[in-house]
Amino acid sequence: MKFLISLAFKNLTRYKRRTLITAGAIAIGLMMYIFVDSMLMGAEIESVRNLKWFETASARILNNDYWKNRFQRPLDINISEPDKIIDKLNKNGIKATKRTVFSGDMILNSQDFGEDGNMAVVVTAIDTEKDNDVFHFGDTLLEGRFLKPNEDAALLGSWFAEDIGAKVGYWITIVTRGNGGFYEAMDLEIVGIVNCPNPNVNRALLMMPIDTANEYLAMDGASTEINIKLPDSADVESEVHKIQSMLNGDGLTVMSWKAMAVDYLAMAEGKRGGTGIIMFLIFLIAAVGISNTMLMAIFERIRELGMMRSLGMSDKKIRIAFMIEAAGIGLIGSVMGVILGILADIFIVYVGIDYSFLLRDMDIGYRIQAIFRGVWNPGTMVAAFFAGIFISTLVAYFPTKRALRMDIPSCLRHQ
Amino acid sequence: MTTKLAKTALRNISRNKRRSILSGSAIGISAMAIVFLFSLIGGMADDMAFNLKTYYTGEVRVRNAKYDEFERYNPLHLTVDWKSTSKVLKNIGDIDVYVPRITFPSNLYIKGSNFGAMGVGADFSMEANFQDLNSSLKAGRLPQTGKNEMMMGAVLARDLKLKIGDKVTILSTTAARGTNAITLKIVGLFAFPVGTLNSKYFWMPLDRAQYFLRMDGGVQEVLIKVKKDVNVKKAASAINTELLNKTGQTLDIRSWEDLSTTYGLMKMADMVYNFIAIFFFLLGSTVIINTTMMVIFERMREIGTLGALGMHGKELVRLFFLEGTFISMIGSAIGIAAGIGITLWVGRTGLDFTDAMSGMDFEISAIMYPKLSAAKTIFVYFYSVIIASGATLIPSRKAAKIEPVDALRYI
Amino acid sequence: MISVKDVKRVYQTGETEVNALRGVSLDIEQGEFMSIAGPSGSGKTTLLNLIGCIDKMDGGEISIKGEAVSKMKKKEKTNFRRKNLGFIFQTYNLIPVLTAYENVAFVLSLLNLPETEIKERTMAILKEVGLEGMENRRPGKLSGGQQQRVAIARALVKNPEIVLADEPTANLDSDTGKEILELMKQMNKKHKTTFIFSTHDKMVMNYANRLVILHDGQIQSDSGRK
Repeated sequence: MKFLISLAFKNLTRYKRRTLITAGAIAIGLMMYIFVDSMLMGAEIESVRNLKWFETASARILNNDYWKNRFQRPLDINISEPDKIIDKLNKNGIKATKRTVFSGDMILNSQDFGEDGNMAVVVTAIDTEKDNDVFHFGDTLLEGRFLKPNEDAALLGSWFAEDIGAKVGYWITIVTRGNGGFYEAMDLEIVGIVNCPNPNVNRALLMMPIDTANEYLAMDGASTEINIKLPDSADVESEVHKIQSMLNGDGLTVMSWKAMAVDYLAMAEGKRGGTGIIMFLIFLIAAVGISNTMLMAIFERIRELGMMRSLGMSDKKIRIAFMIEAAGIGLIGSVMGVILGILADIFIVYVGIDYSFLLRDMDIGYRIQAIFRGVWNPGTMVAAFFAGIFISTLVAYFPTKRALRMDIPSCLRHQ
Repeated sequence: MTTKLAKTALRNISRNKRRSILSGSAIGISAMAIVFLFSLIGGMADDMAFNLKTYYTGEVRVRNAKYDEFERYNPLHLTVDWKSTSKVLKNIGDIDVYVPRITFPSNLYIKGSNFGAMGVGADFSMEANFQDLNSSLKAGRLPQTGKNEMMMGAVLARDLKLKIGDKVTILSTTAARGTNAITLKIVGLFAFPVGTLNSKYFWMPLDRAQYFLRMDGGVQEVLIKVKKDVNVKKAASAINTELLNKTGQTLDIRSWEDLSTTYGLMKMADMVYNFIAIFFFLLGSTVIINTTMMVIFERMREIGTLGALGMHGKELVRLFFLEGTFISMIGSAIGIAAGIGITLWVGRTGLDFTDAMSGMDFEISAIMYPKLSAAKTIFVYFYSVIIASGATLIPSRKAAKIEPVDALRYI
Repeated sequence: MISVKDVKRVYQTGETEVNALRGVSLDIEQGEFMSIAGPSGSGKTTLLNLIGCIDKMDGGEISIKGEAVSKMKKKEKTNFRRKNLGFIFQTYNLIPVLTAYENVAFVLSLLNLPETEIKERTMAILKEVGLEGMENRRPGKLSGGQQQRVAIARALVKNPEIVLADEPTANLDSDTGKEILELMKQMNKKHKTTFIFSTHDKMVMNYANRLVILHDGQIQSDSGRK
């Protein structure tokens, strides 16, 4: 066996240029695979983090009937005693915070904004003291200050503020229907602007204190949702199950972030699928290259093959020798590919690609504001490394079979 | 001499059919992939253009000069005077059709809850010339002028659990900056190709919208389509001058390409894909390079003979170059034929991206149809052949340096 | 017509130097039917290649018809060969994808002659070498002897000054070999073309009018013109 291996590797050095070109094709394919995987994984990890930190939390408790009616954002389908539940959760070591989300019309006055206007908004009323236990807005303040309890104030996402030309100190009026159907108008002062890394939130965020909202909307202590934070390492599904059993009989449902972010997951999967097809094509071309190279290698050595066979070397050994040779090309390609992949990863992990020109106005699904960064994925590199060797070996199997079908005298006569 | 070379080159390719096929297939696969890719993008771009021109901006859009600056505020009071404007537009020869529109945010009051939706006030008889509303109508009929009726996006109706015959009360801020309400009966459900239009919009007759929103004879915008072969940008500025002179209004009149950033980005993406194409072709070329090297090695004695007979190195290079070129041409042609086949086959049903795009707000339809462009396909063909045969030059040129005496010694 | 003066040729094979020709001088007249003989390694192929202008020498000079071919650059040598020299190889070296006709005509088209002339001359020479009717066959469908006839036709069709043949009968059985030699002799008589061939076969040597024997890179004996 050792002899076969050394034979194979010596044969590789016969045609250095050809070997390198074939290995090069493999290397490029692997590099692309590692690079794209790194970028997509980075995008996904950041998106999920931004989803959990700013949009869905790890899980959410809702009234049983809320989710199917969520487009209406009904105030009457609510959680009547959220504080009790939050206490129960806290005792079990789980952080939670209550929020009330409602839709309304925001009226802008020409005094502050230069022109009169109105637009549909979604208002998020938060527990000013506990919200940062679950969400991460604490680090995002850009201008002004955070909300204090019981004040008629609002906090805006920075892209939202930019789009409407809002500044700290401006006043806005929110017109909405309270819990019971009556109309209510709230005048709120913009006290702060946050720069939220989740672009979907940053574009539309409008926050106010929940106790203020509670008064205006006559919620009587109820809230529309309770948001839960679970540690990153937690098994979300089983924790959700646990919490659900804590609540049984209360007419409430616990939903994991995955259940709430179905559109994001579908998009991410679609992107993976698309890149998968492109990668497959690249590998197909590389496989054609390997096959071609091996064919040529065998063809030019038919006389040699005949000689070895006549000297008593078994067909199996010859096939193994060629497959090792192909594996050798694959090995060179894999090594080059992983090195190139690492270099490409260094770029995408530490520098990244700035897509802000694209992302500012378009919602492409990923929850990333500007820079796409990759992540180190040693698993992919290992997989790519072995894939390169494995595919090369596999592809070489077929041409060897053909060559061995020829009878020995014809081989020897071959020129 | 070249025709003999060409004939010889062709015959040489058939010497080792399997090898030629393998080399050609690498190029073929690349060509096939690229043709399909460009068709997909072409389809997307065309689709976006169509959607923009039909539902969002027309080819030329007329708005109050200050509207865009405050667009997010939905400043309905910044209007375009319909009567005087339409009179002028009617007489501009380059214009094919035009329609007035009022797009406004509103709240639908259903069973005690509010639901935000966008309303579009439109003149349905004029719209009939602008777009094919009937094929977008999934159920029921179009609302009639003068009646308190609406047609709703099918997805919106589904989400709100409404059907034809239901009455909906809508509330909005008016152009006078007060609020008003009106109750409309749903008489039809529509499905436009762009997802958001079906999940967030309803359409009502223009005159009722004007009344309800206290527009006082104004409209929010006028969408114009120009006649075929008219330069859209030039038309836009001509219309601007006409309207300024004849109605005294300072208006914001721009062509659709100037209005959409996303379309501009699509055009940029096109450039990127040209680079991706180069990459794929180069990758496929590595196989031909290897093959050519092998071919030269195999035919060493022949090269020696030809040299002894008095053939110059340059002519030898040409011979191998031609062989590589022919393989590229045939491989690429087959690849392109396959690409065309795939495009046409996918084009029958389209690619359904509805799920993947459900969270996105893009002016692209959820179902994408790849579109073949003859010009682009021919471009891809020459692109791939040029790159691949260019690649064969590298090993071919080595043939010129071979000394006949050395070559003749090969077995 | 051919003047070879003190020609030397050294080869580098790996680490060792091989002196293939150590100062060979000879004069060849037009129309000679000459054989260069000697054991393998004696330098006969080398001498043939040098006269045939496809190799470079390491000392001495060669002139053909007054032209100092040894001093020519690669391009000039190629042109010279094109116009003046014909080659016949031990392994025939026909282009496998071309027919017998095309293999021969090819040489004429290198000279940019008009199509009609090419056709005329090619058909004529093929008839002369006894291959009438086989013009459209590819080498794969011809016997060894027939292939060598095509090679002879190819060498002669351009009416060269010299035809150089390196062991032309080595791959043929003795009867066919004799036929080929007869043919070459006929051509030599008819067209007055100088034939120089290398061989180590006694039978072939007997056909020659002049026999030069090489040994270890030097002329051992030269029978002169008979």
